[in-house]
Amino acid sequence: MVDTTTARVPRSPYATFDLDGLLASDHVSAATRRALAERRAITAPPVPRVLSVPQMRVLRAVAIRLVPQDDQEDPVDLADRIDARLAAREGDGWRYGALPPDAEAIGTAMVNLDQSGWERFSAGFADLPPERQDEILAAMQRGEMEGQGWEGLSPALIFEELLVEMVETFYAGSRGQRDIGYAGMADLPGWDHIGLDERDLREPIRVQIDNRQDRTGQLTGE
Amino acid sequence: MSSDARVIASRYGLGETRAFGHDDVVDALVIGTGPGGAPLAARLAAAGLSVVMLEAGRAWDPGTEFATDEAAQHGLFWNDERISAGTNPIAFGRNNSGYGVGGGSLHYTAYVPRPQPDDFRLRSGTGEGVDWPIAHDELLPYFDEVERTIGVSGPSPYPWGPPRPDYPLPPLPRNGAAQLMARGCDELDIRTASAPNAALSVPYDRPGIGPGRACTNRGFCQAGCSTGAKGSMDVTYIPLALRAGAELRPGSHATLFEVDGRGHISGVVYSRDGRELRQRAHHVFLCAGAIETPRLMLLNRLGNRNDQVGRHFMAHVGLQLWGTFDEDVRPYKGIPGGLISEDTHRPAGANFAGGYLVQSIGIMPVTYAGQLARGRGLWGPALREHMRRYVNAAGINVLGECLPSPDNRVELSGETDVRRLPKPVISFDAGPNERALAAHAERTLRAIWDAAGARDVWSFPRFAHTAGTCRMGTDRDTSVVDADGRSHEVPNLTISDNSTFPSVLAANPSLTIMALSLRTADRHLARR
Ligand SMILES: Cc1cc2nc3c(=O)[nH]c(=O)nc-3n(C[C@H](O)[C@H](O)[C@H](O)COP(=O)(O)OP(=O)(O)OC[C@H]3O[C@@H](n4cnc5c(N)ncnc54)[C@H](O)[C@@H]3O)c2cc1C
Ligand code: SF4
Repeated sequence: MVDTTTARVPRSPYATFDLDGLLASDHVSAATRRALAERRAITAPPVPRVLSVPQMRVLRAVAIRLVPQDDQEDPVDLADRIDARLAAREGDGWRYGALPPDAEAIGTAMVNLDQSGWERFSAGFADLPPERQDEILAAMQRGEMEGQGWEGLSPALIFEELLVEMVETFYAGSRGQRDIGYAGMADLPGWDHIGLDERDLREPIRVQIDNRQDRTGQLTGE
Repeated sequence: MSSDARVIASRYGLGETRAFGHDDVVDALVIGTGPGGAPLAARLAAAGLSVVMLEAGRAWDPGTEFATDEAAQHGLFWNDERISAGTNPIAFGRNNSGYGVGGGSLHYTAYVPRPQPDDFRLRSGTGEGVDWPIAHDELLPYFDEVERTIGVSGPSPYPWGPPRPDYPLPPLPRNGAAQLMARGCDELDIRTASAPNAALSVPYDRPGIGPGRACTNRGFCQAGCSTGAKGSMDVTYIPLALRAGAELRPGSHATLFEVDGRGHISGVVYSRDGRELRQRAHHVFLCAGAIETPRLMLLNRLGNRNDQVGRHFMAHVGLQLWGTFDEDVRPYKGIPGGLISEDTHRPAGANFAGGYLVQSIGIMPVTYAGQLARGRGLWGPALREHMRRYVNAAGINVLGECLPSPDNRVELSGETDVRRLPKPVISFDAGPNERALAAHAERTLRAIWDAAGARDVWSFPRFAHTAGTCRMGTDRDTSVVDADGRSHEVPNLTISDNSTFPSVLAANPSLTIMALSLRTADRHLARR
């Protein structure tokens, strides 16, 4: 397991936003409520579908660095969502011509990241301390990866694609929505106050919070 | 009525719709039901022609099926993989495609300014690009008609372009981004106006269609309008077509064109629910959009003896600028494109041909987060923290000219898709004109956002809308269709969609696509 004691995501200023209450209200359509509930109910199978177990282990470690969720009680398994999508052979309608098909690109990139961990720091990527993982990921984002495995596989583009997918997955779900004070799903019957600094009563407000954290990642605040 | 026809009839609130047999030789087989296909189908059916519409995607029921949820609405986009090559690879899926009865109009933001007369004479006016084989004047009655039919809300008088009739509906209310853009532009003496949008600001009786509800400011146009306020094809020209006797076949993906000894298309093969079916027709109208239309032509080696199909792919310079404001913006509310300025239509002293318009934009959180990741490369705690200012984010955007180049093109790749058909590869390199225009646009937008009080400003270079891949022209060597959309080579093939545009125009495309669609139908009828 990756050490989470270096938790650095402070508490959300929307800590008092009762999203569950809002979702249960008449402001949310049945179709919208269903979509969010289905997404929340997804659980990862014990064995990945498309990626190998070692590849999945690296992808999970990458997800923790790219979209940290140490402030979440019940984090989203972003790596599993990618594996599930690959298994369903779904896509977003396009891919960079400079990359091979998604499953191949992602699988190979994970093998290569592991390799980079061994070469640079004498351990597999998933077993490295977070600072080291970040170093490797930052190099990947800059496109500065060495080794045969990266031939024909732009590290920077794969990094971008993985990041975008993980970020979009996180903010598509309730945890991400609550975190940023998004109430747009509660659009029934409509919005009356749409101008600057205007708020319909069901929209959350920001609160002042004290973000001192103790070693176990517990939050103290309010 | 067949069971299919019954489902369609109940979905569109109609008593009975027509159904044709596969051996009937229908007068018009329309492939694709976006802004290019739907108006034409309605017009031809109203004239008494037998019309069948094939649509690859499904017929949605927005009222019960559309979730206010970006990920759940993923199915409105064309998600079969396209391969994006060149130095400026174009994003498709959510950025550039439509799938379903209504095509791209299901997810367009309904921003419908008219192009200006000089947009149609780019070559004469600037020495670059090409002129259209149609004059702006010829489209005016069609613009009027489309605006009345789908219901466009906008300011009257409209500050730019030649005099025009009042918009059928008053402007929509302005959201935070629109107010901020007005504030920044006022400071710099740039004129602004409430933008023309195909969304009903008040309840409106769409002629021949029936009453539509007013927009409820839910700001979700890009992922489907559940109220029917937005003038998408599925609530406007599709019901018109059905009422006039056209038949709609959703879930029907055209793959193969059968050509007879005379070089005429005799039938079109399509797949539906895993079955291969074939429809005979006197005339085929290909309206599958600027990627699928050339792809189908290339797959079938159709109308391409001059090697022009797929070439001259163009996309608007669509640079966006984002900033964080002290005020709460809540960018998920209100019609997304609330404000417009066309003062930069032909900027003085510009070192490029053409110009651009400026619009304010709303945005949903998943799209915003994805752009933030792609455009700024933010990750880790920095990304999580930036997203907590989403509520304070506002953007502005340009849509600007793009010159045609024969090397920017759609081709077939060696990889195949689920139907075992080659995937399309789209190569795009922005040229010096696009780069100069984008740089000018970024300076303008930064000045506006600085004046409006933005902090942490970042730009998202982008290309939006796809056009030009089967362009119209009078020169048979450098175009695919004539001014009426008719193939230079295949006598009974007409194209009506974004692919026939010889230039992109400094305006969003859909209004022009719909106007041309009606004109194409009228030209076809006049010839019969
Ligand atoms: C997010 C977004 C916002 C936009 N906002 C605006 C806006 O505010 N204003 C504006 O003017 N424009 C806007 N656009 C652009 C607009 O959506 C397109 O320009 C327009 O829809 C193109 O119309 P079309 O008829 O050429 O093609 P499409 O609308 O793409 O229609 C083509 C149809 O053909 C179907 N089809 C394709 N292949 C086949 C086949 N083989 N068999 C059967 N059917 C097939 C497709 O499923 C589709 O329904 C926006 C686009 C996007 C992506
Ligand atoms: S903002 Fe208006 S037009 Fe757009 S989706 Fe909402 S109700 Fe429909």
